[in-house]
Amino acid sequence: MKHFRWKYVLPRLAIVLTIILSTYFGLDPLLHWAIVAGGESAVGAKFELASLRSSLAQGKLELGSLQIANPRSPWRNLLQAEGGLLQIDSQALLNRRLVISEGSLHGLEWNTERSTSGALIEQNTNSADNRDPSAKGAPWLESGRQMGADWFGDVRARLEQDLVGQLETPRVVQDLQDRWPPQVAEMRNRIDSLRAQSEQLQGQLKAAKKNPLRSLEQLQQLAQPIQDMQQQLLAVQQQLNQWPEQAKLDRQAMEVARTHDQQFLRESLHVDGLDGQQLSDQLLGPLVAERLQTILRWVHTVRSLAPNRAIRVESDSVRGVNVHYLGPQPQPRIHLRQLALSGSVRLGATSTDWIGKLTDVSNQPALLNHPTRLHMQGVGPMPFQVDLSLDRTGTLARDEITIECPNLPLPSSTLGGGTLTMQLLPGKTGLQLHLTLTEDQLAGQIVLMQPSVQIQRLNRSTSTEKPAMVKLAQLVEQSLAQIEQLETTIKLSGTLDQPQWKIESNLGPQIAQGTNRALQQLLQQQVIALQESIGKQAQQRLTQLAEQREKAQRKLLARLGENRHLVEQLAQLGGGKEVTIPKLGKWLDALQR
Amino acid sequence: MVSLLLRPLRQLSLALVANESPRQVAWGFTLGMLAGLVPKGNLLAMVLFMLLCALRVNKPAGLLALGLFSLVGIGLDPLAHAIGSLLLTWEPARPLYAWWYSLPLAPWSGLNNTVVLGQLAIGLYLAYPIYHITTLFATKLQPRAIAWLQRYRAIRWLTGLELGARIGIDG
Repeated sequence: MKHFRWKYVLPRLAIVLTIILSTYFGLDPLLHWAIVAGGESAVGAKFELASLRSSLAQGKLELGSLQIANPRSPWRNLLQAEGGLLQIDSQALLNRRLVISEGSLHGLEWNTERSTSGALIEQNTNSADNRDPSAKGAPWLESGRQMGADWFGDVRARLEQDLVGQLETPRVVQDLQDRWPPQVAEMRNRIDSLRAQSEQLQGQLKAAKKNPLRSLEQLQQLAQPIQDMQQQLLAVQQQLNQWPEQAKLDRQAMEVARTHDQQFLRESLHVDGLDGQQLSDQLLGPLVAERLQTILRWVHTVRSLAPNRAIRVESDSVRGVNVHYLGPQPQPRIHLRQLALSGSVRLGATSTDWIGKLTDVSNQPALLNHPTRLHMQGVGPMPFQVDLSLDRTGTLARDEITIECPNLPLPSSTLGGGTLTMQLLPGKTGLQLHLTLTEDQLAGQIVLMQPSVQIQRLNRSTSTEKPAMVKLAQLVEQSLAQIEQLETTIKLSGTLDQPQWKIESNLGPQIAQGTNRALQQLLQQQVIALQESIGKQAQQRLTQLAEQREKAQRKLLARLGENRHLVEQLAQLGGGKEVTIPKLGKWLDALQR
Repeated sequence: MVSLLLRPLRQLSLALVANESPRQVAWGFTLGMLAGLVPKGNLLAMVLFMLLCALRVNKPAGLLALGLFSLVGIGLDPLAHAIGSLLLTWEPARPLYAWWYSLPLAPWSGLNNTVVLGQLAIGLYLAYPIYHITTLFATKLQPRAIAWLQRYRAIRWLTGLELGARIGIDG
């Protein structure tokens, strides 16, 4: 002992003792500060710990209520806990490692409201968190929202199209109607003209009566016009006699038009049926995009909090390289082996209790053989199970999330958009979610099974809607009412930033089937009604036309008969090429009579 | 205040003219050399420094060596890293390292660092030659050096100041 300078050693020992005692009694504030500062640095938002009590001898840390603000939503907590207890491995501390062998956190809740803002004054705007896949305006999200476009447009156009305007029968009837009056008028004019000519001839003959012998030459000249008139009368009569034949031809034209119209209407019955798959995409797309946004936001948050695989080899030394030679596998500096969790979660309108376990959390996960695992299980009336695995032990970061909830309450949701926006009424659904993330590559599926489902239309028919649309909407509502269960599988792919999904659901096919059937029935009814209406109208018009024609024919024939009588008399006179005195005398007598 | 400012000079003069045994001077210098070579910021460097201060060795000689070999050590880093790497990756010694690393406080020693172990190895390798040379120097040259230096008033004054400081007379 004589080799020691006790004069030097003793004061230093006293100083060391003082430091130890100060640390012992002042450890709690120091640890409190260290945990809060470290937490805020890691999360990027306020990390509030109400109290902390430590016991160096037992290696225990007793935590008071804890609130960790959400860096993206400062008025909400990412996580809050009523308190907890951590058992620290003091042996590991001497080995330069912080190992929490076991612990518990109780009263855990997430996404709760805060009374004060949780934003830190200094915020790094260029942080990786800004790559939030759920950011508003993200192209994939917009495309999902666009899926709710008005899918009813085609059907509406088909129902509201002017079928009557495209039919032949009304056109033919109209043509006949347009053609007939001028034809009758022309015939009447011709008969009137003949009558006028015959009266003129009659006048000339009367004038010739006064001095027949002198007018003999004139009478001979009148013979030719009389003959011409006679021929014209004959021609007119023949034309009038042909009118019934014309009516037959018109009826035949009408039949041809009607046959054409029937063919056209049969073709118009063919409507491309709504694609069930496409309809599922359109109806469920926006809803899926929103739900997926929430899930991916949480995945992104968890991933941003998880340590990076890049710090696998620690190089905290400026000079040289630290070689880990504790067995075959070096141990991480910070290691939380096991943490029992309990809390409550709000699912829909109800809150349910859960218990869980978090294992193998580390700042150097690559040095562990096991991935970080979180298991949660609902213990209330609403059972659920969540398993999360963050694997950074391999060359690729691989995360896996499995959620199973057989009775997940679903709030009212809006499906689709535009004319036929539908509302999924509140209910319960079975949820199975399995997601795998390898680096940024997303894969997995979400299965939703809703045994009892109620869907109704939101945009009710207005008075301005055409009756066909109103009727169709009613039929669609009837088909919606027949949907009893809903099964939807969403297959996920793409990346965390640009997720892609494929929806397989029986919702679209069920609605499409009902709608197609309803649409077909409606169109058939519409076409039959149209055919009957057009046929009836055409027949009526044709009958009217025939009656008018017969009436006109009779009238004209009667007028023609008068002319004919007169012309025949004139013709008798001018029947030969030579007018003799006896002929003239007889004719004049007849004319006198 | 003056005493505090002149303390390094006083220590230097005392290291040269103090009436301590050559072995104490050699031990002090050797310990200082070891503490100087090893990178700071680990338990090993602290222990070596504490030993230098706590043991009855020539502290001024040790501090002199510490300063000197701290500079030399930086230059020797590549060699130290190579030696340390060789030692730390030597398969037969792995169980020993594992045992050592599992001991409480051992990871704080920094002996798993290539440069720390390399510099320690170099220091240990040089320890005996340095000790021997310093002993020879202290045995043969120190009396002559003392006689020569004592001729200078400044040295005598500094030595007196140091002795005065030791008995409580502060300048």
